[in-house]
Amino acid sequence: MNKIHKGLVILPVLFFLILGCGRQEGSSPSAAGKKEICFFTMQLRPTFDPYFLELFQEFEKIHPDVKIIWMDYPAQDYDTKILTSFMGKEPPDVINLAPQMLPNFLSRQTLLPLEPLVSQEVRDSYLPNILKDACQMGGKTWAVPWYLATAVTMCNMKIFEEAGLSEKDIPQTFEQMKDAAKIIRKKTDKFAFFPIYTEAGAMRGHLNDAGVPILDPEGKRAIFNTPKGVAALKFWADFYKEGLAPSEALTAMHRRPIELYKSGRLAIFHSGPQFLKHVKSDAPDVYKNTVVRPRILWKDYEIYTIDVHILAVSSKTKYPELASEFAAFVTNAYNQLKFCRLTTIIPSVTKATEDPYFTAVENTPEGLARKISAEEVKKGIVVRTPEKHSGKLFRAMDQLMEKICLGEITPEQGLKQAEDRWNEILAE
Amino acid sequence: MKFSQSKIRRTAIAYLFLLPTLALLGTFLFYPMIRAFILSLWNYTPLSPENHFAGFANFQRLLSDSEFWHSLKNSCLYLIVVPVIIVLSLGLSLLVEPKIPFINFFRAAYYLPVVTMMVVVALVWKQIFSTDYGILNTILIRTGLIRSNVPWLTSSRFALFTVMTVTIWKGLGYYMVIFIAGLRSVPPQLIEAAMIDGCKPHQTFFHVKIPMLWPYITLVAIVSSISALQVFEEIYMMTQGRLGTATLVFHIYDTGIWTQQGGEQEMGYACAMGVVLFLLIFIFTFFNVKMMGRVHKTGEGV
Repeated sequence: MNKIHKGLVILPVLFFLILGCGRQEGSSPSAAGKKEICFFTMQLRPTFDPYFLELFQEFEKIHPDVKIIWMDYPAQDYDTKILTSFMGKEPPDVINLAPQMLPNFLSRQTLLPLEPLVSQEVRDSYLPNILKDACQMGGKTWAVPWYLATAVTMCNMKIFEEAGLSEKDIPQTFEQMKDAAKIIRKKTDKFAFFPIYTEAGAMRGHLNDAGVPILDPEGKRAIFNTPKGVAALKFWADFYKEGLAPSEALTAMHRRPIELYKSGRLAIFHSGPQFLKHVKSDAPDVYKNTVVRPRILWKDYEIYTIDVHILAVSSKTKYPELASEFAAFVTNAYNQLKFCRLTTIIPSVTKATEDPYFTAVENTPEGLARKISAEEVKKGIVVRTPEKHSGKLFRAMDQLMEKICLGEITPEQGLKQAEDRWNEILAE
Repeated sequence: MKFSQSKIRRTAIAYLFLLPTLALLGTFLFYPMIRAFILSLWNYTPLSPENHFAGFANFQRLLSDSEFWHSLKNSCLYLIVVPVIIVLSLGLSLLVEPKIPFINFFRAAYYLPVVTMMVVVALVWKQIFSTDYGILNTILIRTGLIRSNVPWLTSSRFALFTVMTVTIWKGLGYYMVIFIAGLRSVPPQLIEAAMIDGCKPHQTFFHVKIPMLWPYITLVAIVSSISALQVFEEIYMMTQGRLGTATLVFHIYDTGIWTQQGGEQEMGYACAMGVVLFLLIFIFTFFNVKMMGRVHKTGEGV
């Protein structure tokens, strides 16, 4: 009996403990009635902490009643996390997105159109093609552009030398790259190049590189099934089948080649120059042997695709004016230039791109990469994401690309099936 | 019927003890389950303004959805791990059951994978199985067992089976402990009697120990087949459902929650798949219990 009485005491205690667990979350410290602007970013902490904390302080100086709350999430499953946070009590106010995420956020009405929240004058300050292709959909502006990057080629000269190649053998075209890859594969135990085959409709990128348009101007029909498209797919499928790409490239995400390059097991790394910073800090030995060149192109077609980060304002924000002002503040010429000095990225404000910082040649890999990237951005385009069902469209491409590389279907069949599937989905 | 006061009090206290667990189960298990059943009748995407009641449309769509059937097939294929786990863990328990010095070390060692996080385990095995960089292929080539790298995780033929080996490796220790308990419960007199009657060791094993272990084998079969049908983390970490390795639970996650690569979070549709999975597990467990019960009874009769 005594034991039961003890139990009776413990029970309520347990109960309140359980209740207590739930209570804490809701009551986050609202710093003395200040207006909180919650800012979500993708994988920037802790590298850029000092820059952002200073940035927030400056904004809070202009608006003494505002407190910026910064949340940073890793790139992996980023959009899943952000979308989930919209269902919670504290949705973000300003969100760092990539353009291909826009459709998913728009179909849920989670973003605010920025006309007229962001003034015409400010909107005009951004590079016009970037604003149009990365931030506008269905005739409205949903975000302001932030930082940009284009791919550059980084080469680990140590592997080149091991294979008996020198700086003059650094490939400029994919055709040359394949020749170099064969030599490197034969003479060393390493791979030369790690193509991404099946991440977010990677086939789109390969077609795009070869100058094959993806959708008709109305965005209603797929038009990529052309001889040129087949040739491009065949090139990459053969590259895989001939064992020139690591076997895992078939399913790998873009993080994997970075890891391999940093560990000195990949000769050529094709990516945004901002990753040079990681190479420098994580693998100084590889950095020492790194030579930077413009991105690899097809022999007969020149194209530069631009990766864009954008800032959108949440439809759930309590302070639309402040949130959009903050987005414009983060992306203004002054602040972007300051950000660009910390890593190899290119600003999206026209005035900032004209800064001598991006034209003066500095004799370091980063300096060269910055100059190359800034030039490429001028000629570059943003690949537009289909406005609806992008997930299904990409998945269809990825699955077919797998089959093409495994030799289950020919590139011709694969491209035909991809086109049919796309038209089916687009007609829904 | 009359209840004495003390009896009522006792019952009330018993219920009081059950309450916290019930509250937890109710909030985190029963409520979501009921919600899932309701959502399966809806066309539902979180936050979407177009959510509406859809009746059985989701289930109708399942019938012609080849990806769903493929993942269902994979989940059923995954049941291959069940007999393998039973045989291996039973064998392992026989090895570590005797009381000899340092045997606890071995028991702990075999149990270690069970308490390790699946995410960590899967990541490490993914490195080991890596086609071009993995240690497994390196060893196999150095020892001359294979000529060229085996695409463990990068071919649609091997990938699912490779993942299964990780599930088996991680689960063995858990089922081993259950079988050790089972072996301990076999009365030594029975074995002694059998030996006096002239049974050889393998005969005692098959005719005395195995029949006595039936309830444990049933338990292991049910528990391991339910977890095989629900396999998720291994797939998520090692193949991300690529190369046709998506199992049903992964496919549900992929359809309903994941937005990787622009997925649209069709939660209603995913819930419909969840209902199918629930029915599958339910039917499966039901027949499993029935069948094993019958075998167990005949076993007793021997």
